[in-house]
Parts: sequence; structure tokens; C-alpha cells
Amino acid sequence: MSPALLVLVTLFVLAYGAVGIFAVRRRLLGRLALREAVRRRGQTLLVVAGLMVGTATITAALVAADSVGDSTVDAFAYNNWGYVDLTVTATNQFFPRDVADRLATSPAVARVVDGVSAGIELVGSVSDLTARQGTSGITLVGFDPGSQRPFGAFVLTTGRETYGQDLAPGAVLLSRVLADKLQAKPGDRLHVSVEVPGSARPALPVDLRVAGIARSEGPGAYTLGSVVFAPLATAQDIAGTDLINIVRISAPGGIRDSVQAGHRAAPVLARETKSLGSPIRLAVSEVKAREVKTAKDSTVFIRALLVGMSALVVAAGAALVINLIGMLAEERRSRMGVLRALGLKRSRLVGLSVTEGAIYSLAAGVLGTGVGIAAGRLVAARFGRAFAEFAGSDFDFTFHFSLKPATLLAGFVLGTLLTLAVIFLASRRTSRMTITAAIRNLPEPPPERKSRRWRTVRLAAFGVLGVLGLTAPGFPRLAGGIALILVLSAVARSRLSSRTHSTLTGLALAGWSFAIIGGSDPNADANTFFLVFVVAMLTSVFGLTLLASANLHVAETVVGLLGRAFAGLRAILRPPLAYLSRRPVRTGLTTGVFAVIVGMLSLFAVFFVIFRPDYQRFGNGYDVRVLSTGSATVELPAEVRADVIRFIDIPTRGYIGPLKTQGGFGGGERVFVPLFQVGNDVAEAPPVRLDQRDKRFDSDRAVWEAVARNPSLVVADFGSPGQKLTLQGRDGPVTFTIAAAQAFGLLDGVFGTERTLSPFQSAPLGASVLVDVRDNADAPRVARTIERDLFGQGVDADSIQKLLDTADRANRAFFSTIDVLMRMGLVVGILSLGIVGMRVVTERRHVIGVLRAVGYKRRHVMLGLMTEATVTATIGAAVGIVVGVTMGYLFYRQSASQPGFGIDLASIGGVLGLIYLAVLLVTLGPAWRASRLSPAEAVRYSE
Amino acid sequence: MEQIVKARGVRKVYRSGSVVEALRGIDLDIPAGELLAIVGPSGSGKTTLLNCLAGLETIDDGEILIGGANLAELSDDDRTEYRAKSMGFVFQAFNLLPVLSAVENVEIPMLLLGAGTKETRARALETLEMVGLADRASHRPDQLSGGEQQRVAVARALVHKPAVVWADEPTGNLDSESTQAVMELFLRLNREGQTIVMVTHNPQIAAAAARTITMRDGRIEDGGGPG
Repeated sequence: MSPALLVLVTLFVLAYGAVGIFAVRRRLLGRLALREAVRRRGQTLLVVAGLMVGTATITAALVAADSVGDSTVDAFAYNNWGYVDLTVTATNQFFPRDVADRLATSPAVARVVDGVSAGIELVGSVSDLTARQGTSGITLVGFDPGSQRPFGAFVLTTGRETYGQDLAPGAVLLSRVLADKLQAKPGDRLHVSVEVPGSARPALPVDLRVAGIARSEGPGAYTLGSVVFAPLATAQDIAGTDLINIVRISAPGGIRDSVQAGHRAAPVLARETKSLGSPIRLAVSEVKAREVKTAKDSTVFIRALLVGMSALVVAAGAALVINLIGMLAEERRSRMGVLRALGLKRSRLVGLSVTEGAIYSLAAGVLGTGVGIAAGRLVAARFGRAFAEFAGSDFDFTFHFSLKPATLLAGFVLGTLLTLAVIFLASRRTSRMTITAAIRNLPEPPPERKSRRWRTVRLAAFGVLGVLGLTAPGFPRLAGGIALILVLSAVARSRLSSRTHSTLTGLALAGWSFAIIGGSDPNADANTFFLVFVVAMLTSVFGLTLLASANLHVAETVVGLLGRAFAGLRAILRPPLAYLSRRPVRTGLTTGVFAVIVGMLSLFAVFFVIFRPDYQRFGNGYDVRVLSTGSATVELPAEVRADVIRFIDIPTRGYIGPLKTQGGFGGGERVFVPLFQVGNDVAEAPPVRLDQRDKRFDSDRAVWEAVARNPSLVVADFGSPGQKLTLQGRDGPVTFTIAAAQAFGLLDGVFGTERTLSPFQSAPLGASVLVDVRDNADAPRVARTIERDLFGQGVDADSIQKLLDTADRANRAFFSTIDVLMRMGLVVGILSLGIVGMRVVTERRHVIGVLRAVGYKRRHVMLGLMTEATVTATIGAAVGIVVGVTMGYLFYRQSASQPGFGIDLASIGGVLGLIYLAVLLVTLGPAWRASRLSPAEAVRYSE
Repeated sequence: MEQIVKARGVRKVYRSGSVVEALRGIDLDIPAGELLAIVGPSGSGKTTLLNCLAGLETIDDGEILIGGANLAELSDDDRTEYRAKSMGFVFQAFNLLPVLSAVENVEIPMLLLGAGTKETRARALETLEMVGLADRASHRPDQLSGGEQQRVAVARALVHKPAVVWADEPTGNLDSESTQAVMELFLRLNREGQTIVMVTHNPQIAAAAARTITMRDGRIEDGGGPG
């Protein structure tokens, strides 16, 4: 159990233990709480359903985060490396096989490892001469059948197992991913191309045959991608070398439990490797251990995103709990008043409510955990789909659902504790009553003002904390500003009208939140960013809700301006609008729920547009992309030349090795990174458009000029401008600064000049070609023709449109992961409205009776209540749209060269339609019941 | 004298669990301009009679004619419309809308009748002035005393010049000073020709009325009958 979970469980035991002790010591109150809890089954169900939101959302987020984390670690650390725990490499350089043999025979090494195996790993292209299909970006993995046993057997799709010793000369195995791409079958003839600069002998055409297709397990899953597994001798023939470029080492244990053993073996291997006296610098890497860490780091963002989004829904859920407790308190007010009159202290009344709430919250916790598992499964499935879209057909990524008892316990404990805390606070508030007014069900007289001195001390303390907060960056600054605004608001309250006061406070809170978001860096630490984002979102929603509620009279004024014909309508609208505008806290609790959720959905509606497919921009005027990793030259077939207006040929080195990025996103121990070599005149005709620039550069041209000038600057498709990335060069790690990010999906990799990329000259050389075709030419056909004619060279050719659609699908799939949580939030909002509707019927019986007596018809009552619900939802939706779109714009502004700003009105329209339909459905019942109240009954009503 | 309310053989039965006959054949005439007090012990049917006469409750038998219209034959909407046009109500618990200011509360009946904004505001302020609360027009109920709230309720009942004002225990929640003020207001209004029917427990209030009927067990024991 983690320390954080231990603290939570302790708090849970203390809190519920205290409630239990209260119920046992005050048996009468305990019995009363239990009876109240089960008295009305329908109501109990509603309350439990409302209270489970927190637990369900937290559980869903944690379960989904676990699934993402575990799947990522399983895939990129364990399956990716299989039984390989450590490697000895010279980073894109070859060295004698003798290195592996001497390590294998070293007694010191033999004591700490299971196996040592010489190998080759190179990036190239492959063509299936039988199926007439080719592809680039494949990895040639040479393995030594003689030492393969500790690394596991390849399991073929036929079920046969092999360590490679039975493979005839020229026989190779294909990974499942590659076989699917090539539509290859056993027996197919293959041609693999790799260009290795400075290799000892020229690469010879090798007649290869597919001996089998390896399942994605054990060594067959190695690299997760498109792999040709060749016995070492065959791989050396293909590469034209007698050397190797990797020694793979397996530590004792299985695929998942060998990391510690690998860690113990690393220093022994480092010592022994050093003692070999190799003239080439050899490095021992704990690849699997590092990959585990990188994989975990890379999911920090997703965990923070999920927890952040769930926090918004939990906040909405808390508002729902307050509404529920308010509803119960309203219904029982006169009974509670009688108990107080009979001598029950206020603290015991709170205890009674909390005991009843604890019963509900425990039931809700159990139910919420179940719902959370289901919702978490849905979110996880969406992430699985998003990952599959990102991976496309290039990776064998299996997403699986993780369910851990510790996570479920954390969700249950955190959810129930939060719910109990909200119940406690709400009960304290509702327990404040004037006993006589409560017994007679009369309105509560205004509260007495608290001591001025105590208030002044509190405000001063708040003010000092606020000023201190302003001096620090990030969350403290946001919180400090909020505190100062609230202090100023409290001081100015008596000097301003209620409307002006609320308007100014609301504007200040929203403005400050937007300013902080506008100045925050979304690429900074994910946890900090999401904390600031969530609090800023909630504060801006609160501020704008306050502003909207305080100015609702405008709606009545507008109706009034319509003249005498609308006087009746004005009479009908007056009470609901007054209830909304003059009870801003209660209004805010309901509108805020909608606003937060609509805000998030609006933010995504902006993202959908600013990340929308922009064919011209994305392709930079080119229509077809051709990739060749096995050959440095690509000659376009004669058949398509007539259609080609221009093309650009970019020498591309296939770096394969460790990649470190700030934040860990996209990093790993064995990452294939295409290095695109641009000329010093790149600014004249840049190959790609930029998506984001470092703030130092005011144009794309300035970026490319700086990249041409400064060998430490690159353009990359991963990371963010200003961040560093590190690759392993010939003489050690080489760190670059990302000057700008290009659009994902066209030429993914790193752009730099020849000088910039000189530490990687030993990496295989390929080519990337962008082709601009005539306006009336069919780009997909051109791509197909190039791929068909050059299949022997193993090139990939795609129309830019296809690449764009793939990238867009991946983006949308990623955004859709949050959708489940947001829809849970919408359910909370709708439930809130239903509860408010029911609360209104209970609480306003007198008022409804009076209105009916003075001339409101039944339909007027219905119309009034439904107007109130609709206006509530409308304020929430309007505030949410303003907040979401403003935040979207602020994010858009931070990305200096995004495509144009816009809003996906269709998605917002869909959400609004759903909201109004739900409003109609959930308020119709309470409104109808209210309209059926007999005026005489309602006027005399007291429970 | 014109009879503004005529009730004949009115019966009202409540059927919630047990059957309770709240009104057992009431005959009552109320002439225009009368200040009528209905008294009687708790459970005698005073409030039920007032609610039935005002059209707030339906009756099981008999007929109630108000201004010539038989309430029993009107639909709920028509009865409601009739109340909006011709009746005003004052309740024991004041029953002002807590979120509206005094003047906004008073405006409601006028707005319901489709009066214009300016006309409504002017009339509401005039009525508040009549009950001595012009200076409290923008205050909300929780900023007013009980007596003031009840005077606002009276203003709301009068603002649209109804034919009858129905008052159920109008002084039941008031101290003696406020009771005095409200009663003086009723008497003044009645002198100006306003028909007022009120239910009360207070013998002093009842004594101030022009006519008093006493109810017991759902019947008029004293003072009723066709006028």
C-alpha cells in the first residue's frame, strides 16, 4: 500500500469511525438516521445515485490511468525488449563479434546473466517480390541462433517454435506487423535494403525467403514494429559487414521480473566490457529498466489529464451533493425544528445529518466503485482506440484493461471521504435555523452579522496570504489573486449595490483566471499545469455564473420592453428569474455544473477546429510523400513524371537508439528517429510548415534561418518548442533545442543541417521525397504508382490527404477519451436540475399556492418552473461556452503558428440539444406535480 | 343590496384515510361592501369555507355564485382567471415571494392581468403608499417586520381593485400593534367600499366586523343564511 493510500485509509477509518461512535453513543439519533435513510426508497435511490458521482468519477479516472500506464509499460518496456535486459552498443557503429563472445565466456558475467548474444539492428526497406509489396522503415534484426535459447523461441503463426538454428541460409522470419503490411506468406521471396556508410564490404543482393511469421510474443514482439528477423550471418550479408552493432544480454528471470537482476548485472558487465580494451567506445545500457521508467514517465501527462478532468466532474458532483443535502434539509426542516425545540443541540443535529449521509455515502461508494469500473473500462477502451490510431499499422501495441485492488480501494476511500466532507459542510449550513420559523415552515429571517473584529482579522489574513501567493509562479499566484479579489470584494460589499458587487467580483475572478491560463505553459510539468487549469476553470465558471445571475433582470427588462402584450409573460417569468438572480449561490451550484462540463466540451470544440485537417497547410503544397529507408536515392517512375510539378528530396538518416525528451513524451531506449538533413538555404523553401514556434522566433522563416545557422537547434514533431531532446551520437549524447514543432504525421522526425546531424553519420542513409502534382492529377493514384513501380526498393508512398486523415483520426480519438468523463459530468448536471426541480416543489409549496391563488394558471406554474430550469441550463451553457472558447483561444494564442481559430459549432450544438432535451425530461415531472398542487393545500401546507 | 357571493347547500368532504365532512350544507350571502368575519373553534371549517367561497377548493355539492358565475361550473383555468380579476388574498403567513421586493410582489396581480409596465409600477407604488409603505417599496420581505409584510400582502390583494378580498387569519402572526394597524387598514378599506371576508380567532377583530358568522362542525351556527 502506498503512503498516500495509507493516509487516505487512515482518514477514512477515523472519519467513519467517528460517525459510528456517534451513532452508537447516541442510539436514538443513530436509529433516527437509519430510519430516515431507508424511509423513502425512491428518495434514497436518488440520493445514493447523486452521491456516487464522486467515487465513480475518481475510480473511472484511476482505472483508466492504470490501464494506460500498465499497457504502455507492458508494450514499450516488456514486449518491446522481451528477454533482453541490457545491451552493449557503440551507437550506430559496428564492432567485432568478438566482444559478445568474450563477454559470454567471462565467468564474472556468466554468474549474473542468463545469456549473451551478438546481433545486428539496422533500419532499412523491404520488398516482397512474391506479393509485389514493399515498405520502408523496417528493422533488420540479426540474431545468433546459437545463443538464442535464453532469449526465448520465436513462436510462429503455425504454432511451431524455433530458435533459428533450423533456418536455412537466406531464410528469415517476419514480425506479424510486417507480414500484414506486405501481405507476406511463408515461402515469399524478399529483398531487404540497408545502406550502411563505411561498411567493410558492399552490400550484396541476398536472396531471402520468408520461413515463417512470428507471433507477437517473446522475441517475436521485439521492437513491436516491422521486423525482419534474420540469423546473424544472413543479416551480416544483407548489411555487407562481418561486424555486429549490438550485444543483447538477458538477466535471470522472465520478461517482467528480470529488471532487478539486470540492475545487479549492469556494473559487472560495464567492468568486463571496459576490460575488453575495445578501440570503439562501448556502452552498457540497462535498456529494459530505463524503458520501464520512460514508459511510466510518458503516462504522467495522461494520468494528470484524467485526474484533472475527473476533478472537474467531482467538483460538479460536490455541487450535486450540496443540492441533495439541501433538498433533504428542506423536506425535514420542520421535523428538525421540533427536535431542536425538544433540546437537540445544533452539533447533534449535524451529527444526525452526517450519520444519515454516511450511510448514503457508503452505499454510494460501493455503487460508485462499480460504475467507476465500467466507466473506467469505457475510457480505457477509448484510449486503446486512440493509441491504435496513433500506432496505425506500424506497431504491435496491445491495450489491456487493468483492475487493481489498491486502485479500487483508493477510488472508494477518496470518493466516500470527499462525499462525507461535503455532507458535513452542507449539514453545518442547513443546521442553522430559527427554531420557531422552522417548526412553522416560515421563511428564515436574515442571519445576524458576525463580529466585525473577527471578520477583519480573517480578511487581513486572507489578504496577506494573497499577496504572498502573487509573488510565486503557477498555482500559488492563481490562488493568491483569487484570495485578494475575494478580500477586496468583501471590503467593497457594503459600498456597492448587490448587482454591481456581484458583477465586478465575477468579472475580476474570471479575468484573473483567464490571465493566468494565458500566461501558463501547457508544456510545463503536467501535474502543475492541470492543477492550475482545473482551479482556473472552476474559478472562471464561478465568476461568470455570479455575473450572469446578478444580471438576469436584463431578461425581464427585455420582456418588459416588448410591451403590454407580453405583460403576462413578464408576470410568469418574474418569480423564476428572481429566484435565480437573488440566490446566486444556489443558482451557481446548478449552473456551475453545466458550465464546467459545457466549458470542457467547448474547449474540445475549439481544439477540433484548430487541429482540424488543413490539407494545404499540412502538406506545405505537396501532395505525395515518398519514404525510402533502404536506399539514399529515389527516382520517380517515368509514368508519374508528367504529373509532377516539383519535388524535394531530403536525405534521411535512420537513427535508432535512445531518445530522451523533456517530460519523457515520445522517448525511449530504442527509438527510430528519422533525421532529415536540410540545406543551409532551407529558409528559402522549407520542406514542412511549422505548428508551434519558440517564442524567440516571430516567423517560420526566422526558425529555419536559425536552424541553418545554429547546430544546436532542430525542428521536431515531438516535444515542444524550447524543450531539449537528446540522441546518442557517435561520441556520446548530443542534446538539441527544439526551435519549432512541425505538424505531426507528414515527416515525423528531426530536421537539422548536415553540420547539426554530423554526429549520426554512421546511421543508415535513406531518402524522403515530397512531391507536388498538377492540380488535376490524382495524388492517390500517383502515390500508388510510385509504390508499385519502386516496390523493389521498398518505398512507402502516400497521398498527403491520406496522411492527414490518419493524423486527424488519431487526434480525434485522443480527444474522445475525455468524452466519457464529460458525459458523466453532463449526467450530474441533468440530475442536479431534476433535484432542484424536486426541491422547488417541496420548498416553494407556499409560494406556488399563493401564485395559484392570485391567478397563476396551472400551465403558468409549469411554464415558470420549466423556464427556471431552462434559464439555469442556459446560464450554465452560456458561461461554459464563454469559458471554454476563451480558454481555447488562449491555448491557440500560445501556439504561435497554428491554423486559424474557430469553433466546431456542430459539436456544441449537439451538446446543447442534448442538454435542453434532458432539461425538458427531468423538469417536466416536478413541474407537472407543482402545477397540480391545490392552492388551498399548498398555502396551508406545513409538514 | 347587491349580493356579491351566494352560497347554497355547500358541502365539502375530505377523503384522506378517514372521511371528514368539513362543510355540511352551508348557505351564505355576502353583500357587496360588507366586512364579514368568520369565527369558530379550530376544525370548525372556517378556512375551508373561505377557500371554497374563493374558488381555491372545489366543492362536493351545492353551488357558489360570485358575480352571477357559478364557481362549481367553471374549469380550473376559468376559476383561476376569475380569481386573478376579481379577488385578492391575504394569508396568515403573509406568503410574499421572498426573492421579490415589496413593490415587485405588489405588481404581480397587475402584470397577470396584462397591465403595462409603467402603469403597473405606478399603481403598485400608489397602493403601497395607501398602506403606509411607500418608503419600503424596494425592501425584500426579510427586511420588513411581520406587520409590514402583512401590509404588503394587503397591498398585493388590493392593487388590481378586486371585488372581494379574502383574508385567512390576517393578524394571526402579528403582535398587537401590527394587528391594530392591519385592522385599521381593513376598516378604512371597507369604509371605502371594499368587500372583505376574513377568518379570525381574535374576538376583538371579529367585533370590529360589520357581521360575524360563527361556525361549528362544518355548519354556520350563528349569523349566516341568505341575507
